[in-house]
Amino acid sequence: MVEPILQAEGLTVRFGGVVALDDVSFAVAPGSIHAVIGPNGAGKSTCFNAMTGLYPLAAGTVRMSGERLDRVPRHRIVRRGVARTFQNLVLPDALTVADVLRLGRHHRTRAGLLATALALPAARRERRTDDDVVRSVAEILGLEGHLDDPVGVLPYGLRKKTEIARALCAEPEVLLLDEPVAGMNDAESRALGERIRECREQFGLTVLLVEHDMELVMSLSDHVTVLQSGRVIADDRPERIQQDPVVIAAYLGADPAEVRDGREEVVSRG
Amino acid sequence: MDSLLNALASGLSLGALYAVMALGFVVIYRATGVLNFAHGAFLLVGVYVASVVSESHGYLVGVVAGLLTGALVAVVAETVFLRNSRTHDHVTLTILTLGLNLLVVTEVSRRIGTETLPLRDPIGNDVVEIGAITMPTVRLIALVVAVLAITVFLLLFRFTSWGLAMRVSNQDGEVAALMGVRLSVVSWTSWAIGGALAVLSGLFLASFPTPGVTPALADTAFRAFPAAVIGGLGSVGGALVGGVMLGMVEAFAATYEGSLGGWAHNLSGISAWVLLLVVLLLRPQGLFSAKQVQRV
Amino acid sequence: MSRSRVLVGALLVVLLIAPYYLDGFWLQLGALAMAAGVAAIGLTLLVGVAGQISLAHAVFVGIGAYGYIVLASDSSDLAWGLGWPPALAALGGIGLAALGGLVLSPLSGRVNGLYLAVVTIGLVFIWQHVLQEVGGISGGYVGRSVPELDVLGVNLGDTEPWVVAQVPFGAAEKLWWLGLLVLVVAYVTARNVVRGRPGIALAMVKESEIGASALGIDVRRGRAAAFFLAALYAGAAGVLVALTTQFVTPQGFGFQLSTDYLVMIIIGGLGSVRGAVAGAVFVTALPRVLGQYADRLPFLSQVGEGGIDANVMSVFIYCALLIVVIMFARGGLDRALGLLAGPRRRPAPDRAPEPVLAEVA
Repeated sequence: MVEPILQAEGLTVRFGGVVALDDVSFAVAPGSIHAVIGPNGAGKSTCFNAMTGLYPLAAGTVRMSGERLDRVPRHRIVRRGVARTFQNLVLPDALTVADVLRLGRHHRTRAGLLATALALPAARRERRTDDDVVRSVAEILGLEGHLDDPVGVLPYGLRKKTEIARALCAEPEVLLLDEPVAGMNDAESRALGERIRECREQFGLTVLLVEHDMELVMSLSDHVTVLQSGRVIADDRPERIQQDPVVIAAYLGADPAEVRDGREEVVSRG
Repeated sequence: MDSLLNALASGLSLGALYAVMALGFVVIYRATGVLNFAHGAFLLVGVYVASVVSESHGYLVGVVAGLLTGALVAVVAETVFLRNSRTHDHVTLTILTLGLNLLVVTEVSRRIGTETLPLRDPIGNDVVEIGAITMPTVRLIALVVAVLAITVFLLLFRFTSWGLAMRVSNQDGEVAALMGVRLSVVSWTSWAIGGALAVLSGLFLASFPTPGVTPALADTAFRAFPAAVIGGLGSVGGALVGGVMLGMVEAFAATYEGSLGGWAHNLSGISAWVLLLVVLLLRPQGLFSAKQVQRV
Repeated sequence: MSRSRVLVGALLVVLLIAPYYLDGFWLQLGALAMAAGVAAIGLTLLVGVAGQISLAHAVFVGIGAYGYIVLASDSSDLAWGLGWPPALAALGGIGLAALGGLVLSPLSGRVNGLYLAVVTIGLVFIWQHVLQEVGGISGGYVGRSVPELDVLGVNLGDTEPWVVAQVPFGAAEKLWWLGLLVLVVAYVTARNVVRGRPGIALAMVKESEIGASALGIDVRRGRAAAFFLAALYAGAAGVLVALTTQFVTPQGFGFQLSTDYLVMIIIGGLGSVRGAVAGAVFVTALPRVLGQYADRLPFLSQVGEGGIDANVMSVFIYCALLIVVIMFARGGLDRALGLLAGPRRRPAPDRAPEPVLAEVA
């Protein structure tokens, strides 16, 4: 297998006495679209938050291109090439879409208080470069007509896209999408899935996503990791995940341990 | 040694009053997430009414009237102003209470004018002596009343559905709603309790050795801020400990500032704030507040 | 040219020629309003943009004022003075306020929102204590008079009036122009900051600390920077206040002044630079104008009579306005001005912030 670009090893997160993630390991291949799925409360978002430094790890490591990510302060993670979106939109309503997208450029720009206040040439140059990136990303996601609108007045679907666009403006190597199509109708989610695939081609991205929409996950992703109760119960190509009795049972609410015995039987017979 | 004991005693009684004040402040913060800058207004208007009513109807009626006024004004602040605001941003609502405070304090100050209104408590300027300790009788009573008030509050907090709602709603409005608790009721009762507790402490703070009710009394309520924040905003136990700590530090500063040289002149007046700065620099969340992890 | 540019240009011309026509009362009012505008711009960057409440703004305005006085005055028995050239002292006053902001900025970085409000009240009381106890700075109970400003040999006080077409221009006129200059600089720089990289980053910090850090924004540094910047603007305002009032006492730089600044930026529309200036003009002018015409307004009594005098009335009016703006009219004067300047996009709707805190033991 190729060297993974992003790798979680033995991730364990505890909240008080509750073990939210228990020894979770998986590897994301460069250039792939990798989905993390699981029933409600399986720990998918916790896993994202732990990987981006929001929750303290009780054990385990996260590596980005072989380098430790879990010791990096959270505001430096994006500089290592990892950008993310949030399940609940985190957008300052009063800013315009263009300003929100510029936020994605923050770590790639320098202009400080003085340069900005006095509109020094360096700050203006930076702003022009930013605006080029912002415009091209906005065009990909169909936001170009809304750049001057305050993000708070946009409908939900467009705000969701704005959040993804902001992460893309960071020009990351790995993009983490936390439920990108939640709240969208079928047509919208299919279209957005298509956009995500295009972005991957165009920017040479690796995408790691958490999603509930099975149809989208199965059609979009190259690899799927399934979590249940904070543990990895399956990690495979989507077509095999679809047939995995453990996964099917997990979604129907069975105890994975019982089904696992069943799976071994299937495997040995097969 | 005597001055040490006296500082302890007066610090304890002052601290108990600050704790009562801070308790009301924390109750309001827990219920609505607002830092109540109108605490001084509640205190001043209640004590002012107590003074006016006591002139015609006697001290006890005056006290009851004052406590009710404080509670009523607080409820009006919550139900009329905060609840009907279009914004739910806590920073903006906090500034709203600052405006309410200024409005009420300006009007009451105008009515008081330059006079010092007496409270007409029957104890007056009696002093008790217990061993080496000499303290105003009123301050001893204040200590007892404060401890009683705090006890009653803690019992309510622990054993009533209001208390349960208070404990939960701070963390999760939905859970509280599921338990059948009406948040609007919790919220206005909390303001009522906060207002009454402010007046209760104000009544004693305006008694001997303080000469009486002046507009400056409203500023005393500022003590509730460091007391509540030192303990950790939102922590009931923290408010109590913070209040007592403040009272102690202030009493000790008052006792010893004279012997510390020129730089310490009037140090007791700002000791609370210096303590606050030190605590927050070491622990930005206060002493007793659990470390908060943000959920996204 | 857009309609708003024409309006701004016309306003500037009017402000520039106004001293030819106004008398002393209005000139001083104008200079004070412009100083307050500079301070309010600083505060709205901190409170409105970065979401950190500070009640210590009066402290930094005071540091600017006393900094200038101490640096520019000659030493006397009652008070300290370094006898610097006044222009240098003015910069020094601003520098001292900025330095104070820098030293205390870690507080803003570490302590968030409502905690900062409480800490900054503490700063006001400690500052008042220092002024009252250290007579060398404040001049004790006598107070301190403010030396005239002098820039590269050009006197900006009453000593050498300028005479243009036989009309003499004294301190009041000169300070009006100085205030206008400083206000324009403050306005332009603040607008650049709000619309530029640091401003949008702070807006994100205000929305969500976690969201901001995921974008590579250093939340602590951002908040500390906003605090520093607010102190810098406050320092400049302080020098202007001192020059305009010509005499200062510690009471002028207390809690009430901090509250006034907060009221200005709320009435003006939180986070709006233009609104901050409008709010500053309103809050500064109200009590003075009411006071000036008190004898002609039947509902007002004279100060000290115990009735509703001009000061009490203006507190009532501006508190009422504050409450109305917060409760019903989001956007404040900024929105009113926006309507004046032409049709505008819809403002963002009000939404309750998502619950972000979860207790984790």
